[in-house]
Amino acid sequence: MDLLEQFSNIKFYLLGSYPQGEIGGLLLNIILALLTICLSFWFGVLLGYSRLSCRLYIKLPCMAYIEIVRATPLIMIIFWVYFFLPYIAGTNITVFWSAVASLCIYAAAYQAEIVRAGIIAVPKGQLEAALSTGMSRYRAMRHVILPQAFRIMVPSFLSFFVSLFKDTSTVFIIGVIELTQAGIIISQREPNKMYAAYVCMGIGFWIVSFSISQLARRLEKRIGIFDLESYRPDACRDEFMLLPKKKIAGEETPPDISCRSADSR
Amino acid sequence: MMITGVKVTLILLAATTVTSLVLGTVIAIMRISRIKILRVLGTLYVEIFRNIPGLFWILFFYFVFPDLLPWGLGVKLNSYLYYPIVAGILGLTVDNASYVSDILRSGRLAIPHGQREAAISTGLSRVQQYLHVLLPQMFRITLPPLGTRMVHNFKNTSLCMAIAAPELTWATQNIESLTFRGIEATTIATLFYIFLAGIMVSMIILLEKWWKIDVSSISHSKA
Amino acid sequence: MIKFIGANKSFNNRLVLKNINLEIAKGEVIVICGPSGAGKSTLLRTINKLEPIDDGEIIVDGMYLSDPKTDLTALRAEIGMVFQHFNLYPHKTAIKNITLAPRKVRGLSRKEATERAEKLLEKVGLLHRRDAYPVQLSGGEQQRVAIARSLAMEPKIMLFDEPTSALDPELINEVLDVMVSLAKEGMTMVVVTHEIGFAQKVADRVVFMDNGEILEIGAPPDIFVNPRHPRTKEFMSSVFHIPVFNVNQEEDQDF
Ligand SMILES: Nc1ncnc2c1ncn2[C@@H]1O[C@H](COP(=O)(O)OP(=O)(O)OP(=O)(O)O)[C@@H](O)[C@H]1O
Ligand SMILES: [Mg+2]
Repeated sequence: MDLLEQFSNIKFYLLGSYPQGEIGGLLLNIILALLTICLSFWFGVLLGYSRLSCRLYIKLPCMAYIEIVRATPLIMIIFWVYFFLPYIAGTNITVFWSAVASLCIYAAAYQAEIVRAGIIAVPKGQLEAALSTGMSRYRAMRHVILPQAFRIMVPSFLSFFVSLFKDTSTVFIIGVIELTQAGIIISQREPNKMYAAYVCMGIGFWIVSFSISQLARRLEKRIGIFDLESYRPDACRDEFMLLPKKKIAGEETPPDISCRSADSR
Repeated sequence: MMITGVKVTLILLAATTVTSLVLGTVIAIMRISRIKILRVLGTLYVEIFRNIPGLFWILFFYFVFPDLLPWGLGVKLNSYLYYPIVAGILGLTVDNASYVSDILRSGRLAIPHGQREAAISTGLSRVQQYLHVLLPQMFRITLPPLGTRMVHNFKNTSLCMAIAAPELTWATQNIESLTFRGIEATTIATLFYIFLAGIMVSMIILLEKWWKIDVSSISHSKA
Repeated sequence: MIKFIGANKSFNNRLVLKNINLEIAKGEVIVICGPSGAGKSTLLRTINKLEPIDDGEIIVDGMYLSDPKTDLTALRAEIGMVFQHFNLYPHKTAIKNITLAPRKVRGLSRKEATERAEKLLEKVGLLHRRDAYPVQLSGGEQQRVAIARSLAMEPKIMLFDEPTSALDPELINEVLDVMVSLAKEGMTMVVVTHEIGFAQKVADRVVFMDNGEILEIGAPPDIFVNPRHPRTKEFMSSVFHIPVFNVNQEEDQDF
């Protein structure tokens, strides 16, 4: 009975107070997740790629960023951005953009690890084959290694997207009216029927997240997951160490094989 | 206040690590058992809990769960001083256990079939097979992802601030609102999280080294 | 000791064991050979019911396998099995691999089990490796530990499924030596192997299988040197051409 009554609130769950006010509810969770994944993806590729660089001044900062962010709770990152970004930026930022910024900072580190694991999982013979046909390192990366790496990454990428979608609920703490906050607002209107609001909230998250995971599972079956054994993000193959100059400038220079030997000896 | 925060965070960490490992193992065993009902129940559990954010479960156990209990148990719970901590433990446990069970199950699938056959042919019972042959290998094979999950769970303890469990993150926000010395408190807290996560990671690496000898031989069978 | 009566077994509607009738006496050593996919492993695995049969009956040491009241755990404790890929427990040392079942199934104390295990390790010549993990052992050593592990349950029957086919050639003999001494002690053994030297030396009878059927049973020379069935002939000449030669040499040395 109480659950049926919740139907009157369905718009608030799904859209927040949209036509009158800002977009909210479940839609906002989806928007946050999509926006974050799109923005942080390139950041993540750059970071993951640079972490494999042989230049320490490129590699170490990237490593530090990734490890620090991965060791900090998302909620802490949200607070840092929410309280201190306005100081640094010197202007006020809406909670929405504050939320997007913190989610991006958070997601980039994880995406970087996915990218790195993907690159490492490409058999090393591929790079050797590409180099032996006279491709430059950059070309080989761009046309041979990365396309394969992206294929390998798809499953982990999707499962990260599911987890990111769920993590968007955390931003309720700074007052973004996404599904969690919407549910809490509704539940407090009628404290003795709280469970109904929570059930609706749960169902909302569940449907979206379940559908994405189902999709991910389909894809995994088609592409094939890589097994536990080969998933060793810490194994760093130096064949994949890149010349930072090429990566940043994005232009071709002749292959530099001295990079590896110079640094490792 | 920070000290209490650290204490509560550590309590949450220790409690949820243990409980979610236990619950996760039970559910993993349910999911690979040959009894269909158990398999269905286990899968249902994972599908439900994994697709809903941990934050939701923490809020749920704090606000809704006591109302669902019969015989006024809920009222007692609500007036229990440390209920936020208990609710936090419950919420984090059910969330984390779903991941743990999934990881362990994939570990079971990675054990060569011959291991169980060897155990069967020496006459070990089903329980003994699990206890002495399968479970130890499952934990060893899945140690890296399991460790990552536990670090994640550690970070998730900060979500308990949403129900005012007096853990570290909550403490920093409290300090911010009381004394406006938020930056100092937040910095210290962040460093603490990074430090402890680092310790956890190194402990896992040590454990992995300790177990390395066995893990590397898991793939000895070419079958 | 073991008796197959009209045993049939199929996987996915394909018969892999067709009307198997075979009686194995106590103390007998039987070698099973035949081409890949013939159903040798399946036959072996039905003996301790790792694979149940569809119809027919198997009687092992007076126990009827199709009888649901038969205590499978007790049955399996009576039958040792050695696998192609050793299947040692990778997280336990050699001695722990051996003592696990005696302690848990037979209820031996740690001391008794360890003593027994040490005796067995000595027998297979690996006492100095008692605390090594499987990964630190060579293939031949692993297989010898696996044999010791089966023997620790003091089985009445030993089953071997291609125990040497995953081993490097120079390691094969150390395993075969252990098996030969076991056969000489009077153990009932059923061995799937293509090691003709071993068969010649200790087998009482050789069973040739193809396509799920037993085509021929006979003494080793009958099967290897002058087989009657055309299929056996074909198989022996294609697979065992060179080994047959080796065996003769070995026998010359022995006698
Ligand atoms: N678990 C199973 N499910 C389906 N088919 C199986 C199974 N086990 C064996 N088979 C099939 O049964 C047939 C006999 O297999 P078996 O392993 O007994 O042969 P084999 O004589 O031991 O061969 P090999 O020399 O290769 O070990 C094969 O065709 C195989 O494909
Ligand atoms: Mg076989």
